[in-house]
Amino acid sequence: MTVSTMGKKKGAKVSEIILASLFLIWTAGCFWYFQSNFKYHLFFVEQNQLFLGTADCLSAYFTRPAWLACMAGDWAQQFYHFNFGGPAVLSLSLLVFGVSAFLSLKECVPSRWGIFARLWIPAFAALALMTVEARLFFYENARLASLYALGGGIILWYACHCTTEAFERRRWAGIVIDSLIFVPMAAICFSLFGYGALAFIALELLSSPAGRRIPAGAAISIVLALCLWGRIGTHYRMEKKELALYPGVGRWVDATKARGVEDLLTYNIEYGRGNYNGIIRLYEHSRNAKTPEMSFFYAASASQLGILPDKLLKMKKPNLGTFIHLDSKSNLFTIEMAAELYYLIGDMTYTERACMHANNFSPTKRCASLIKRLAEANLIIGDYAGAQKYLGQLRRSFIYRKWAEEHTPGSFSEDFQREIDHKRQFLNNAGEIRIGDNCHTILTGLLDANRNNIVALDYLLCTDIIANQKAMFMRDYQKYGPRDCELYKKIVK
Amino acid sequence: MRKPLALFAAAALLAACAPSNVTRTGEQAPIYPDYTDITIPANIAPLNFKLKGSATRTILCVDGRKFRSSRGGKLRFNEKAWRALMAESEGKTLEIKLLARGKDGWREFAPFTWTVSADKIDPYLTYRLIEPDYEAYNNIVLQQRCIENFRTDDFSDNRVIGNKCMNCHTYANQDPATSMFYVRGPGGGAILNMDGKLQKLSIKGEDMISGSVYFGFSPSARYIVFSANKIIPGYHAQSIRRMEVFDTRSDLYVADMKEHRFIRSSAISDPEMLETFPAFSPDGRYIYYCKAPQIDTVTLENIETQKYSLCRVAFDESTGRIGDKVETIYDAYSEGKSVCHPRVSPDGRFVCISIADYGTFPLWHREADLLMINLETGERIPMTAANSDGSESYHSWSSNSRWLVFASKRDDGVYGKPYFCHVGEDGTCSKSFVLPQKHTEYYDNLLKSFNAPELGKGPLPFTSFDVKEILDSEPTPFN
Repeated sequence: MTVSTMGKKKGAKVSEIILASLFLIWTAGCFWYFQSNFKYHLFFVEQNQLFLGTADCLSAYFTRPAWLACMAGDWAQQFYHFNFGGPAVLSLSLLVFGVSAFLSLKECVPSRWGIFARLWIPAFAALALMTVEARLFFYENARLASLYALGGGIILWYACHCTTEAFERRRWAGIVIDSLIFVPMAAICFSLFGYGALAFIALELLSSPAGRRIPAGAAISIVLALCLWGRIGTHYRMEKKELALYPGVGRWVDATKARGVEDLLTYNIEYGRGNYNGIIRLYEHSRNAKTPEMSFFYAASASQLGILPDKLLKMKKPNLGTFIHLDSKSNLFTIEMAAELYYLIGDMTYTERACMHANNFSPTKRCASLIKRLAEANLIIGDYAGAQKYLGQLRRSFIYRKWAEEHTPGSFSEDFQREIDHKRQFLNNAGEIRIGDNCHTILTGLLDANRNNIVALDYLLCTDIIANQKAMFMRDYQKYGPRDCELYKKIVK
Repeated sequence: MRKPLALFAAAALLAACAPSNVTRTGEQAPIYPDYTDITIPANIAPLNFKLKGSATRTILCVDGRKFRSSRGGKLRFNEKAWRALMAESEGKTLEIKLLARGKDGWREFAPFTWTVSADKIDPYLTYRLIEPDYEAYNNIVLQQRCIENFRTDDFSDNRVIGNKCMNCHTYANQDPATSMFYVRGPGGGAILNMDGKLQKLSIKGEDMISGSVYFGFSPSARYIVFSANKIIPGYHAQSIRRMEVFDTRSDLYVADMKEHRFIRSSAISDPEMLETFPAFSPDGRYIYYCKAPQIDTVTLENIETQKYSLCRVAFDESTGRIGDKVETIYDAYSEGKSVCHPRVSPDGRFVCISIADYGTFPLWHREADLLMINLETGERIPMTAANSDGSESYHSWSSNSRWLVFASKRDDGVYGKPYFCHVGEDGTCSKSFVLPQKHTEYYDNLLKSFNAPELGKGPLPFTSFDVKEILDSEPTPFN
């Protein structure tokens, strides 16, 4: 071995160590960044799905392309539930993606370019790809399945490439063998990883000049795909455009907008965790612009603490959620706010309606947070058969098994027993029918059923105030009041 | 060599059917779905089920022979073996024994029966899968399921056709070559399937309060009778009652599908009355429908007193003329019940109706049950074996008049599932059973209702993509 060869080898080793460190530092940075800036985004994704490992649910993945990417992605997203879980799963997934991209791209650089070019060009390309993929997770509905689809296509290509490398040197035999292996593998890749098959074919095309090969397999795959695309679409019952990019490449959202959504999700999720004082502090001390959704959770938190009237005037643009009307165009945030409001004031009919409506926004058509709420609403009204449907699903999930057990009739936890007893006092058992979702009707109905429903009373009177309906306020106050509160007293005077 | 081996295997199986130290509990087998003591058609898909509670091993014996065993409590049958069993058992009653091994060893439950009827059921079932509140339609799909196996296909999926609401699908004479359903909203219309060719129709006259809602084909499929309804959804304050849907106006019309014209009659469009749920008799001589007086103001009290009677009016298919005389078959006020969804059996002998305490939407009425009326004698035949404590509604007949399918919410009170029951020569019904599924947890995990199940003699000859294509065309108007 000559000195210069030894020197090159040593240099390459040092480069490899630097490279590995770079990837690790990038991963640690990614973890830290998402933990500090977008942890609620990731938790929100987990709340919007309920992964069930039962045969029927798993077999549903096989009816669409990218079944492995979707199944693995949805499974891994469960771990977003835990503290640090989301950023950890995401950054590790990105690391695996980056390493496989690096190894694959390395095969696309001709060896004549030299050892450093073969290391650093793919390394920077892989790091850039990792950064772009990480950036796509600024979107609040970004699915790991998208990343796994792309990564899966790359890993599969790399595995195929390593296996067939030996044949490629013999020209004609190589072409035949390569095509025989590559074409079915491209089809398998589409089935397993959906649009990852595009990366699979692209890498084959990219690597051909470096390996001095004719990319016959890739060419045949492209021609076959173009000829059979309509049939594949019919088989999967999907539009051609959706089919080509399934399960979706993700959405590039503006960073400022993403941070705004993170702020909103902070309110939403902390409210769900019962951190009402935290929300009030956050709203009152944060200098960030307040959206109507934030005001909603601030008002709801104040109401949970019995101080809604005291906090009403602290909102620049108050939003109690009482003017929400749900229809087929309502978005998820709006429907979830409606569900929270109805549950808070004690109307379980409308709680159930909103939760069923919102479930449609989940990729798996079941959101963990809403299934829990549906179970609670059914338990409160005493419909245990209805509740069992939802509790059964939660029991079959890995994350919510304990929650389901604590909410099973006969083994309620103390906290839930208290909550259920409290909520049951305020149920409206009057023989009434409500047309539409006019909140004034809903609130007065609840108050007619139980005058001690202070939450409903505050929402009613505060809605009158923000709607500037003094006459209505006076009427409602006289009928359902009095309530010991400075704000109301001032208005009454 | 093969014969002795087979004999040995059979002997081993027989022995395995009765493991040692079995405790006979005498309890009814706690299985879901409840497939105990039922009558089934020979062409039904395997009745996969699971044992409630924990079991490490389960054995199912048919007439003393071990037919299937499994680790755990889930029993899924091999389709080939199942078909062979059904073929050899046609017209027989099978005794089923279920043994389960738990912590305390083997237990044998009380045996139950499967009576395999020689009356075949129409092999296809169409239905709409929708959230039970019928409001959210961004994930609605019309599907057909082959009930001889587990194959399911969408024939109108709103992800494909562009986020539009769809109404239920109805066949003419259970014939897949003629059927229709509605796509709502802009660009929508009635989608008529004639031998696989789709047409978009605009079945709405200027004087009508809405487009067609409920409808039925005449035997020749030249006419449809339909209702135009002003439907109001309402929500009960009592959460356990959930939802009420009622009409503030509704009238009936006949549409001539050949000449694209409406046939009107004051007999079925009385402005003082609400007429709905129309259906032709299989001979085309009558239109059956439900009728109730209008309510003045929308209050629960008024809705609760609104009861629909079952009526019929004559129809002449050769001239398209509607008769003048309305006959009442079931008088709601004297009976104290409200009638919905009359469906006459294809042999014309029976009419099956849903009866509830009041109103026009039995889906959320736990008291809603099915009732059979013998049209020859007027006899009311209770369907106690088929009904349950939950709501039963939206039934449809098999073309041989021997089977009924209907939506029942008996399991959880919220989500409707398709149940079948056998109808004897005298109109009596057997215990009903739910549509079998490949996976035993399917119904536990499903968050959709099966709405308006209909039996058909074959697969529908179109797909969601065909529906999407026809939706882009201009509708054929009716005058």
